[in-house]
Amino acid sequence: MVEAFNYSQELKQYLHRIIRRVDGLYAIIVSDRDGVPVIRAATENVPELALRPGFLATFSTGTDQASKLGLSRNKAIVSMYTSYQVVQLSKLPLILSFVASSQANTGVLLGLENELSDLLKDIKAAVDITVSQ
Amino acid sequence: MGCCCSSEDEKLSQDGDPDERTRLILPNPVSNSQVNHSDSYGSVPSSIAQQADEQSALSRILMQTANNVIDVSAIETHMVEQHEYIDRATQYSSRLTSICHSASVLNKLHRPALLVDVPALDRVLSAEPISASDLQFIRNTSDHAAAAMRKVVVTHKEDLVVNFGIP
Amino acid sequence: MEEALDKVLDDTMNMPGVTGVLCTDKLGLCLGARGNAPAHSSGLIATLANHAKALEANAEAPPIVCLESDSGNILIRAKDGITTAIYKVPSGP
Repeated sequence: MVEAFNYSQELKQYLHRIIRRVDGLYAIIVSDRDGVPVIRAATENVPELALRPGFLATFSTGTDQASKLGLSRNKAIVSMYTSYQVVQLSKLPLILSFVASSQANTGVLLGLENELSDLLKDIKAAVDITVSQ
Repeated sequence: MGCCCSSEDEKLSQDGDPDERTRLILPNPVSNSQVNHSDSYGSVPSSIAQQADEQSALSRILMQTANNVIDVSAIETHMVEQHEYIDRATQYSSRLTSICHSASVLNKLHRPALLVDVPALDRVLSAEPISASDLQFIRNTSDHAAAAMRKVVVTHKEDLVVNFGIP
Repeated sequence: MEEALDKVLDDTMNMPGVTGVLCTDKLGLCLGARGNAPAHSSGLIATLANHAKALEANAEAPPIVCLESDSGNILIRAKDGITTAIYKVPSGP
């Protein structure tokens, strides 16, 4: 069980390493479509409201509606605010969310999708079985 | 109208007037053959069957349109309640920790270092860093690219908000 | 809208030794890519240019970053918010 517990910790540490590596990145959240977090890593700079499920879940509606715009399925939505930016990617049944400063490099955040794809496959296996229960 | 030989699928109503045979959507083979079959049984049952078919076709169209329409005011948001949130969050984290982890899975997270030893290091470091022509080339190209981006302007062609032509 | 930029990218590709070219904005969003320059690397290229600029904050001209490898060089320069990267085989002095 000690080894099993370490997996979650290892994941969090890995996410924190990424946060340290990218200038201006404050939080990485992997959640389900309702915004309930599966795993997340955040620094103290992140606005707490951005971590709430009600906020993250707006992406589910947004991506569904955006898929109707005639450009085929929506993959990602970038929301720019005065001080922050939120980059959310649709990795059904999961949502991958990044909360960063508005000056952070959006291209790098979008590029993190490739880097985290292996990790997301593992997490998806965990969530899928839970969701179908 | 009233003729047992029904019109072919592809042939649209020639006179342009919609009659009871005019399809709103291209019929699928099943429903079409049903109508053809019931035609030969007399007028009353066939018209009822036809009505039922048209009703289902109409409701299908309605459902399809409703699915494609973006109606911001009608969006239902399912707010997760506190207890459900806590339940699911603990379920996920216990589910995560119960995944069987072999060493290889954890090793995937530790990528190998990108830097490798370069042989003949002094030769590499003392070589000419970059030629003057290359320097000039990148300077010119980036100046041209910046100038090209300044030419990007938004031209107003059509109105953004239009009204549907509902009489 | 982007005709002028497309022309610059195409003209650059036609120069001898060039294998790829890419343009990005300050936020790392790719404006155009040709040849072997991958569009998804736009974020990293913009970051490199930004960090190099930070090394010498008072410089008049923006710096040129050169990544050397066996297969070729990548030349990166940012000007007026647009970062351009050229992938080419090194030409003689």
